[in-house]
Amino acid sequence: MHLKNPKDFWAGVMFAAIGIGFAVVVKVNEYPMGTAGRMGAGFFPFYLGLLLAILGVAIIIESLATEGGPVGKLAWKPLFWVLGAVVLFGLIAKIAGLMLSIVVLVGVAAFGGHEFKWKEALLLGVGLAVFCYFVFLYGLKLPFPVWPAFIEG
Amino acid sequence: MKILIALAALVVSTVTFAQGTFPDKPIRYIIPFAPGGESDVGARLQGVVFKKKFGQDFIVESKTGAGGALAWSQANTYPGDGYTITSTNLPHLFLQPLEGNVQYKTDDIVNIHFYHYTPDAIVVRAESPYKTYQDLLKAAKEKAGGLNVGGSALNSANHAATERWNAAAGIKSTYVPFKGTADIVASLLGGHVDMAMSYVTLAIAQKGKTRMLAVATEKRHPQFPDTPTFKELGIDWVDGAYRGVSVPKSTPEDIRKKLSSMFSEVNKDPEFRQKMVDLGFELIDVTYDKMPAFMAERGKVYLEVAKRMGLVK
Amino acid sequence: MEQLLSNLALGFGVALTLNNLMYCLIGCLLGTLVGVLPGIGPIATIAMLLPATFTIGDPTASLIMLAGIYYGAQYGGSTTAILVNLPGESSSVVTALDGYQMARQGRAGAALATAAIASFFAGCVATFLLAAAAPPLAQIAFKFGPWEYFSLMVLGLIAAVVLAHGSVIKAVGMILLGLLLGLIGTDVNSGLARFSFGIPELTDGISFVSIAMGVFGFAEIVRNLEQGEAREVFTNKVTKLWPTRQDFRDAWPAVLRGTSLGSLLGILPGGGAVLGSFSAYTLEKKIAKDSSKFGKGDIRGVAAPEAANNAAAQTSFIPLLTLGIPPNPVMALMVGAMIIQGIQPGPQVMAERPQLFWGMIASMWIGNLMLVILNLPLIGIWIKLLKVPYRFLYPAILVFCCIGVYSLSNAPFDVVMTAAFGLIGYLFIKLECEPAPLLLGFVLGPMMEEHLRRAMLLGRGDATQFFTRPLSATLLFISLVLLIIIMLPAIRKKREEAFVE
Repeated sequence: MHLKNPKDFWAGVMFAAIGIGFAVVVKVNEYPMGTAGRMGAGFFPFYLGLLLAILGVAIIIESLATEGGPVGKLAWKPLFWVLGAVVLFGLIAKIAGLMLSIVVLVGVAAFGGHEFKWKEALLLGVGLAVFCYFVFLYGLKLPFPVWPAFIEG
Repeated sequence: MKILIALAALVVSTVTFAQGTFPDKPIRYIIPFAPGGESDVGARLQGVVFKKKFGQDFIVESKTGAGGALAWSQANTYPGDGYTITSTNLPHLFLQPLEGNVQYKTDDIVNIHFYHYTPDAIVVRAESPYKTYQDLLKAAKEKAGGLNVGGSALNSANHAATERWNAAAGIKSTYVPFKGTADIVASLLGGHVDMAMSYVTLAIAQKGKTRMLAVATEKRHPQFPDTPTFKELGIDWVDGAYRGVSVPKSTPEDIRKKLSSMFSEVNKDPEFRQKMVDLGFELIDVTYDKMPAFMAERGKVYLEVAKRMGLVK
Repeated sequence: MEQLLSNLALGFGVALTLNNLMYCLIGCLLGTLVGVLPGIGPIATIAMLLPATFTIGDPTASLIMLAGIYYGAQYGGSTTAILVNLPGESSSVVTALDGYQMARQGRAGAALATAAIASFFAGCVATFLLAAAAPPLAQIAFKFGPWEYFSLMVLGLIAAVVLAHGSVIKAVGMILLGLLLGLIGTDVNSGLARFSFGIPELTDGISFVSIAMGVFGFAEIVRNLEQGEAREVFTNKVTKLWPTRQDFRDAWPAVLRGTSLGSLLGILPGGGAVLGSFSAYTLEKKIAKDSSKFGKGDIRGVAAPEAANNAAAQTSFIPLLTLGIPPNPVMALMVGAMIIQGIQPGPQVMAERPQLFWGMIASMWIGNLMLVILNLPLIGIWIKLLKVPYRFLYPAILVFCCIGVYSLSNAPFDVVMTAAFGLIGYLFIKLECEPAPLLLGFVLGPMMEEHLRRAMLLGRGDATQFFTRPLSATLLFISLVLLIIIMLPAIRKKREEAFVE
């Protein structure tokens, strides 16, 4: 099938799916709907979800009648490296300490850039780590482990 | 790698225990209610005395949600080293699990000390047509649909008190839950609810803007000599919200006892006592060794309340 | 009037002592710092400093410092929003819309200067309002019951549609999506954990910072990298540091309107201040003769919300100082600070502690002055920062974001969540779904539900009060008019299309 307005079409699909998702979760988990005077926990999200689903369908229908641009290619490379670096930082921060985590974050995220120069990335990582040490740990006294857990002891 | 880390952690923890100078770092004090409410204020005032007596800060952290249930259902997820403690409230700890929607049980929470309570009180705004408790009672009986009673959270002390009042006075009023006591004030002063079932603390904080019509103490409150007690009004009711502190289940006995005695010490500070009384708190000391008896006694009382609320058949 | 002057004289007498000036400066500096750093907000900072205020001893000095942090963070927050599209707080989301676009066009200096000057002006006006008419203004807060709050939020959400410059219907979808995301977490009324799928961290709800940073900051980074270094993100020819004469002419009326809206909404506890900057932007866009530049770097889109934001920050002290009601979490912490110092916040503060009350008000004005003096020279430095090649800039942004997000709860969860929203935000960009309405929906969702449920409970299931209470009815009527105004162009376009066919 040829989509005339793929951006709107997929946006509509997204809204409809999420809306139905919320409404289904309310029903499956049996969140109480309550009465008009004493609304339950399920009332508001259920009808909001339904509303969003209807809107999504409306957007899908409209997208079939209008012209619009293509969604375009997804930039997997920066997406993977940048967000991957962030997730990695979150996972290792407690164990590796802030200093090392920053260097890792910068190093991995640099892969997402146009060209990767490891010397540059390392230098930048170390520089940022030093800077952050003074701002966050020394200045704002955030309760972060500074060094990897096995050194910290 | 993992073994190395575990080993390192072990070394670290034994070192701290060996020193034996609990506490040697700030204590994270989790408050299940919004900042500015009674629990928060009490904790911050305690923190000042605690620092003076034991040299460490309380880091007061507010974890608001579900009338406290959010924080209590997480209370046992913290390390049991005494450096993370969670403030607790009665009757919440009994009523919420009976109601069944929360993810903790009463026995999950290791209370080590109850340090004060705030007496239940009926408060109306200054412009309210109800000058006395009798006025209010009359309106409660006559108004179609009953009065709207604002209170903090569902299945809370305020909620229980409202149901208790309904039963004792033979009326039917509607309880309207708010996020916290600070939250009720705007609606009370704006006249959107007819009255608040709250504590003496609210009446003190909003003196001049509100009127306290009845209070659940033994004797009349020194700051409100004109307000009758429920006993005088013919209702056998001396109660309020008890506040205390809990530790994760994994906490060793000696730290539990130590913390309990520390909170007793804090309560002894004369300046602190004066401040708390001025704010409307009644200081008590239910220490760790008295805890089982106290909880058993309260449990019976609250079961009665819960039956009245329709939480238990 | 004479009374006011003597009160202000008393206040300035207190605020201008060397000691208090110093604490004001410390507060402003610290506030600017945490405001600029993404993810670290005034709440965490003030909470951390509360014990320290006890060692300061003097309650006036400590409150002056805490207040400085609060509005200092507002100034700092808009800097990050403009420079790197990272709104740290709900109020700076709107500033990011046009501010960041201006920065990309090499007009970051103009945007930053406008933000600072607009904030200063609004701060002055709102501080004066606070001094002159706090008690009568506080009465406004009482007029708002759950019905009025609900209607106000309906109005706010409809206004949010205007935040987007693309498709109206998709903007509505984003609002609804935001509302739903806001409901994730424990239900305030019943204690039920909704949509948390057994993940304990989700019972707390999703943090605003996670969403804002993900869909704005991270998504923007990925988008920039996608376009490649060849197309530099920021034009190198950052020409003028200062707004032009034309800029001033454009911005001036917008600042005035923003200030009035912000001052008024700031008084309402819970949600008022958030709506200030959003509605100021909506107003500007709707009354502008040519609204096509909004969202693409219109100076009015920076001036109005910044003015509203700062005005609201000042007037939100009104319910605190006159009623003892904290309108937002920062103010609630100020209540804690007051009580620690032995002051019962509420109506009696003004009468019993005039030195503290008026000293604090005077210090607010001084603090605003300090901030504008502090911020204007800083603009030069900020702009130099933008000349740093993007391949150095983006890892740095990531580092600051990650630290900020991690510090929310010191657990990996928030960081992972932010990355997830980065992915979602990138998809939004691809599908041309604009995130600003989503964020407003997210903030208002839980409040809207709370007020709706309370209103229905008070009315025993009867909804007519929404229409019979004059203020609520007025707000709903304005919403309807606004809705029609928004829908008209779309309808007209449809008709034209139909005509062509």
